[in-house]
Amino acid sequence: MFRMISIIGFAAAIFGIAVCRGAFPSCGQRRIRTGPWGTFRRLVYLAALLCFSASVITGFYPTLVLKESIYGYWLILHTVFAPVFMICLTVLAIMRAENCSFKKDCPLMQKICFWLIIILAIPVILSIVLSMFWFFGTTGQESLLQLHRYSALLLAIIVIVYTYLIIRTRTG
Amino acid sequence: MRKGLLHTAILLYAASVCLSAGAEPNFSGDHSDGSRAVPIHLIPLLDEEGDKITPDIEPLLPFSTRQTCGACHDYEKIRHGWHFNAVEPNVSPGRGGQPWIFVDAGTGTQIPLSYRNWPGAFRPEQLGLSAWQFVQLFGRQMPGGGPGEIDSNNPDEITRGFISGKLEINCLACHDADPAHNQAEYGDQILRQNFRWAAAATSGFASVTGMARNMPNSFDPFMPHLFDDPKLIPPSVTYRKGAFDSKNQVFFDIVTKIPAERCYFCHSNYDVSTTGMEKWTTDEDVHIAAGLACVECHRNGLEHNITRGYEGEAAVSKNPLAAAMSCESCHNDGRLGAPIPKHTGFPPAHFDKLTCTACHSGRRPERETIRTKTARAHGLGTYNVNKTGNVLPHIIYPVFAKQENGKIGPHKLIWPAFWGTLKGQNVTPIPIETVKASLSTVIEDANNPVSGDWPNLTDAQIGKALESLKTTEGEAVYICGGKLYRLNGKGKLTATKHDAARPYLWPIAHDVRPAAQSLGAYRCQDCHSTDSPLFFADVEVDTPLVSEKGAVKKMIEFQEFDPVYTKLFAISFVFRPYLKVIAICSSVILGAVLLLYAFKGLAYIIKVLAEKD
Repeated sequence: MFRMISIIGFAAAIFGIAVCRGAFPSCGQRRIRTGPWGTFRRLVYLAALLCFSASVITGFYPTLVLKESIYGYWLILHTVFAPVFMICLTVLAIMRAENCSFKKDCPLMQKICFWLIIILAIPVILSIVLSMFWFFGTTGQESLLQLHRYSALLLAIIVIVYTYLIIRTRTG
Repeated sequence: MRKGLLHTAILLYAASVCLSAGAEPNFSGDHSDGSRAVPIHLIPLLDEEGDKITPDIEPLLPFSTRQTCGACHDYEKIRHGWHFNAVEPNVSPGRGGQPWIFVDAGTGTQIPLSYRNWPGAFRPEQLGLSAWQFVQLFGRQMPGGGPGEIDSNNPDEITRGFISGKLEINCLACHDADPAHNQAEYGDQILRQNFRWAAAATSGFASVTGMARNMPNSFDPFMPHLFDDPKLIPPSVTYRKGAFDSKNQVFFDIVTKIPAERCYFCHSNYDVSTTGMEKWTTDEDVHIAAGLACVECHRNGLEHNITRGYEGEAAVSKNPLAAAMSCESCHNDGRLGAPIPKHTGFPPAHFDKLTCTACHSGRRPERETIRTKTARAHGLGTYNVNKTGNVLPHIIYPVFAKQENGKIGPHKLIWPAFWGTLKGQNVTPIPIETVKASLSTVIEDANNPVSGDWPNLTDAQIGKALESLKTTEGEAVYICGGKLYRLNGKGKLTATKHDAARPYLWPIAHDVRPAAQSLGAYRCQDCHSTDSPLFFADVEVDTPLVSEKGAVKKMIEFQEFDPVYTKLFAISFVFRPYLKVIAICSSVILGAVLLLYAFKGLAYIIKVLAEKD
């Protein structure tokens, strides 16, 4: 079930991006901020993107391709990259929140994606952290795992869309 | 005309009733009327010919369970039950279980045997043991039936079998609640070859003397005998005064709710450690302590297909309750008052990879495995049993290994040690009598420790023994300590790995510890630490070879896990507390940012609306 939903979700995201790219070939280039702060922000972006990619691959490859639960070295790599992504995301949330607020002229889709990422990151993180405590029994653990999987799937799709939108505004 | 037809119909009906009654005898004891009260067994004793036994008959014969119990219970049906059907080729062997272990310290032999087709166990005939010999070796802790009732083709065994009688199912072994019941007597009678008298000897109202083993081939147990030699005492039974009532009936204290003590005679375990493990220092299985009996979970009906209680048993068992008698079946819905486990903090993956018993049963894993004794392997509870800790067979425990269903569970283990013949890739054991004859000059009796431990065999002795066992049927080899030993072209002893040398493991389920004492009850590090015994304990490699003494294997080698991954995963638990802190902080910050800008957005909306107003 989750495998099927994941495949449909990723396919829809890629299809949507392709359609968007075909329908709106150009959207104008935005000014890129320079200076040490901007460089730092870009580094964080890069680290976040790298860790996000690694987390998505290690998280979804076993499910989608190997048709098994995440286990073994995939799990080890997932637990290495996911926390770094989590830290980067927190830093970016602090740095980008103001620019994505109502008042700013950031593109609406980017704003929506940004806030969705922040919203979804919370269940993704908490679902796995809470399962490490002695709070939830078997049913609770199952529910947390499902919450983690589905919220991570949504997060992954939105991050892909958001990244596309960022790249598009940067490259025109 | 009509009257004639009616008579014919009545006659036909009567005939059909008689025929059907003939096809399936009606055993009054096999059909419950629904009463939960225990039926009183005040019954006549019948000998093996079905004749009633009275105290005045000469010679007094032992009662036959086939006849005495079989008068009201379908013995033919019962004898196909799990405890008796190992010799039947069409019975599914089910999950591998505890084998019988043939031991001959003098020849360095310790080999798992079973009539069931369990991978790794050898059939008794492969070692040259007939059913008759098998019963003499292991009948002490068998419930009778099975190999005890097989007709031999060997003329000598046929003669001796007439004297000893058949080893019928000993119903009393389980069902006799008489406190005077003495199952140890059974083993003694087996040694004396008093098979016919064995069941009676265990009862509280009969005693048996004499020894069929010493009787000449001309001895007729059904005729009175007097021997000139005072040492020749024919087997005979004496019934306790007052055992028979005025109708020559005898009271049996028969129960269907078998007390655990009856099961313990054949299913006891005793952990051998340096400090000793007295019974009073150990706890019982939590189920027994809670007041349950073994048969509350291990149930059977008349067919005696007792449930073994493992996952997947229903696929091979004919017992309709097989699926409902596992750990989950009670603990998932609180049956019989079973606590429903919460398993808080356990990711569900644990239940895919571990059996319930992995965390809850047997001894907690420690840095090294220990040796254990079992009733069936060591004859616990029988007369004159060797109580030393080192007596063979050496059973290693607990070994956490992968089971057939892919889950990790606790096992007992023995390292096979035997002399065999290598043909192609197959190793077949050399009959033990051949081995004994060939090795008598190579391995001296003086080498055999009185403790019953291995003799200290040297490489040179193994080499010499292999030379003396050379046959035309194949290359002589010696299996021990997980290796196959053979002589190379230059006559030098070499060791290689071989499937036949793999250890024999069987899963264990008892004693079950309470939840509070289970693995991982309070901390993940019980298993997920870099030196966790569950993965990294030393498993003893038992061998009589001096040069290989002290060898060990890591537990993880029995689990088919990647040791590097397992270590890495364990290391990740060192960082887990930091991960928790960082993750919670991140969530709080992200939540705060969300909340802050949600309020800001709200303020903005309020402001815009106010300006418009």
